[in-house]
Amino acid sequence: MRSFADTTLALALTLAAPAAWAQNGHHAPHTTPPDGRSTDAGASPLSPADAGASDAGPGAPVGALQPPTAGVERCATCHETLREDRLRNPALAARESVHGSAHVGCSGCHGGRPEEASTRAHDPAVGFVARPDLATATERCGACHADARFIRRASATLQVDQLALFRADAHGHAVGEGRVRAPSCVSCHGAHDVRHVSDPTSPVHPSRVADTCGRCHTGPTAVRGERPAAEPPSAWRASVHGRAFVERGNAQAPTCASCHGAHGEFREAGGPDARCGSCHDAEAEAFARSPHAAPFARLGFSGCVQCHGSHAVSEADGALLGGGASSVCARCHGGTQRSFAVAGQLDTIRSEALRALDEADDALRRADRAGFTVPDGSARLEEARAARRRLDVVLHTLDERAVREAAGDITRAATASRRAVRDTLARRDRQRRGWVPVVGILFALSALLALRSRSKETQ
Amino acid sequence: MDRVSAPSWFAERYPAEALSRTLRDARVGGFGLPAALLGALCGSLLAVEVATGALLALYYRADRDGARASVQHVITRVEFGELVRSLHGWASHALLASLFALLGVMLAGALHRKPHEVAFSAVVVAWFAALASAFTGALLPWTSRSALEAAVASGAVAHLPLVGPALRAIVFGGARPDLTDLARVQGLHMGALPALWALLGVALALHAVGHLAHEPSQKGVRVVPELATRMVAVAPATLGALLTLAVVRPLGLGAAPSAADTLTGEARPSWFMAPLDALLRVAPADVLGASGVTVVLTLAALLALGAVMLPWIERALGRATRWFGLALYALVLGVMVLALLR
Repeated sequence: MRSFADTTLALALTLAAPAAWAQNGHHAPHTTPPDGRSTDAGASPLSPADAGASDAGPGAPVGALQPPTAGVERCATCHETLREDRLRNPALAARESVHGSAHVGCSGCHGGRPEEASTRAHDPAVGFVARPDLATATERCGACHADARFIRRASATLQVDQLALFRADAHGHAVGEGRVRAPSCVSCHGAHDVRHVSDPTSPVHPSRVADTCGRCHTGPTAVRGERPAAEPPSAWRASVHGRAFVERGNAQAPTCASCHGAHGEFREAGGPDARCGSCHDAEAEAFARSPHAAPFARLGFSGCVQCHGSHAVSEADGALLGGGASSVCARCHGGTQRSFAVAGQLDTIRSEALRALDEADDALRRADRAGFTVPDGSARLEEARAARRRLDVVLHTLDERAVREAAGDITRAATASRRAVRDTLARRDRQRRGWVPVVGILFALSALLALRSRSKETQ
Repeated sequence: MDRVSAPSWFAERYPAEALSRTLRDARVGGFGLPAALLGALCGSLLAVEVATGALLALYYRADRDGARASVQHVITRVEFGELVRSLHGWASHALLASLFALLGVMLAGALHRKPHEVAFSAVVVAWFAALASAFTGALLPWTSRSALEAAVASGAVAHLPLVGPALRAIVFGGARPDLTDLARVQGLHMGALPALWALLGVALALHAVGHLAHEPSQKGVRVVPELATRMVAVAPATLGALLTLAVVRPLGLGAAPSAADTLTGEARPSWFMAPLDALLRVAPADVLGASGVTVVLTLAALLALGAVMLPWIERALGRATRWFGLALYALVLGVMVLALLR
């Protein structure tokens, strides 16, 4: 996640670089600061007074970042008043972007003579590029972001390895090979309307990144085999990860970039199992102890993806494990094999424990709705839930004894929880029964008074 | 200056002896008898409401985060807390039903006509006060149902022409009610509405006494002691019935509020809010250029005003409208039954 945030802010800083730096790609070139004084090549574009600037949130004016062209750049003088949308809109969008907030000018990317308010500004001799190609755009973004000295003066945490990661990645290779549809920085982050990663309108915001990736990886080019095809973004949304993010608002739930990386894929660094294991470490460790680990490794299977899937990861419920038709075990083990019977057995143990947990949960919820707090019952239920998490981990070992043990912990804690609820409600019922004689006395008193009234009337 | 004893001072100003003699001579018959007993029932229920409400108020926390927990504390930790709360809730429901029944009896016995106009109007206003009291009381525990009712009511009230925004400001505290603290609702429930009840009670008592003094009936049972004894007998019977309900069907608290409940319709409104909820659901989006909700609420408000003014409206319309009041009553009853069956 952080890499996205860092990337966007890094992009802002990229555009702060002086126009000609792209020519050498490393150092700020000869520049003219707002006060007109000349600075040496290689000097930081940040003024001493600006050095205190640090991480800025989305839209936060990074006023401290004064690119060398700020104050003298006149691109907007013409472009914001032009009638042609393709010439005016980029200027307007850039002003509202994270770069605009950071007072980064157009010439940071396009070069030229920004102090000229005429077409003389578009001088190729000083590096003006109207529409940087993919490779140029990538290099221009990356040059500043890869400059640790430059970046660190603006942010203490911003990554500086995005360009290196990108070059090592399939996306970077495609750009290097000059493929027409290769993705560069702007493909994901946008060119002018670049937003901070935490801005929900940003295409790389966690809530939208699946759509951004899906634009290429589920489109016609993916279908034609030009790009690796993936399930559509809707598959991620329907997955246990997507639901955690979208429905439960869990910001830690993984999106595309969490597993595949924002700028460089992790395929070489341990494969999918390592990525799943970075969050589900206990499950990964349990699986490594299971009888599946060795044959999976021998066959080149991913321990996680083989059973759970990759994008449309479903809830790890009984349907996944059990001996039924939907069981993933049935994919490899035939219905008559002993190993398949083990899966059914494990599912039965798990189901019984979870039934006890559900019943305890129901009992406590009913008590809560009736207005009763049962602290002991709640504590026991929490114990049962913790045991359930242990059971989910232990199931990966396929060790029946360990599974029975964890399931037994669930059942014991759940039963204790239900007992606590039952005791509380039984006390309430005893108290209620104590009022029956009072009710009888009240009705008798009322009847006596009514009879007395009638007898008076008769008299 | 002559020395005057305290009893004679009071007797000079408040002729209790004369009043007692008047009441002993007066008789009540026909629909007056059930009306008096229903009045006694309402009085008993109100007494239970006040007594149990005072006990509950000792523990109540008027903020959205602590309200439900404070009610849970009453139910779980306070001795007889659940019973007291159930009595309070059942008394509120019974009060609404009893007042509605009283209105029916008064209409059936033509007790809304001269000289009972003020009494009838006061009972109608009392019914609306009981509705408002029940509504504010339902908000106080801040459960999923409370959240739903607050959202529906605050949204709907704003559509009421002329008085809508002011009414919303009074109940919910502004144009964008978040009810982060429920003190305003608690204030209305415990202060303003009981005060209204007290005024109505005094008005009804004065009316009854004045009517009996000036037009004592020659038929029916004597007010004192027969009717008075029966009215007193209503009190223990009421308490017994409420206790039975509280013991057999204690009122639950309900789930903690969550946005999902409101969105998915998990939470259901209280029965007394069901007619408004049903009307708002069936209201068309647009009626002759006006918002359907505005039209429905305006008609409901006019109906309420018509009910208060019914004795005078009937008199203005003449004898041909003898069944007008009963028809109106049947209409309201029908809407309530349909909404509850829905």
